[in-house]
Amino acid sequence: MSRQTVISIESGRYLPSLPLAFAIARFFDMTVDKMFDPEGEEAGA
Amino acid sequence: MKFIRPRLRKPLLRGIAGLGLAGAWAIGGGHARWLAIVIAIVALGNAVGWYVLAGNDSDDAALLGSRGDERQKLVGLKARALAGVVAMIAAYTGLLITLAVKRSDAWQFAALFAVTAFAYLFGLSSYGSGEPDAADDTDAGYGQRSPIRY
Repeated sequence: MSRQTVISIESGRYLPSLPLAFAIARFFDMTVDKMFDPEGEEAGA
Repeated sequence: MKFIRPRLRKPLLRGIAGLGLAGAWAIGGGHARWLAIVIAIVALGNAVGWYVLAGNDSDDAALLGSRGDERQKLVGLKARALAGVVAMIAAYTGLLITLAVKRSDAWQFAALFAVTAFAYLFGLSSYGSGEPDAADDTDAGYGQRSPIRY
């Protein structure tokens, strides 16, 4: 995965595919919903 | 293509396409046949330029170097889809204009339009717009709408 894509995901301009989302979550040892759930992010902020 | 390094694939194709153009010009160029050498030099320079650009750290360079990730490939796919739509509209516009002025070369635009339209239909059938596959449980209730909304 490229640096540009990481930036796009972080800034919310790109939603990764399910396989990529699972791979990212696995890398950070988190669940996909914790990582990518925007409502959870708003609630936590 | 797997045996060619990813960074080399598109520049190589460009070079071959340019040399093909130069060869066609050399065969049918008449007294301006020397222009084929210029076309070949420009094509080779273009291929080398693409190879150098493909080494950069950007979305375009990743696509040029055939090493794009899923987002970059999606961007490339959308750009190619746009190019296809523009080609189809241009062919149709050309067909309308040539028919309106009663020129005899309207068939060229008609052929181009037919090719792009056929490619679109071929894409639909290849990438699956037909009947959905059967679900694991045979009576899956196709008549019902999915309860999921987003």
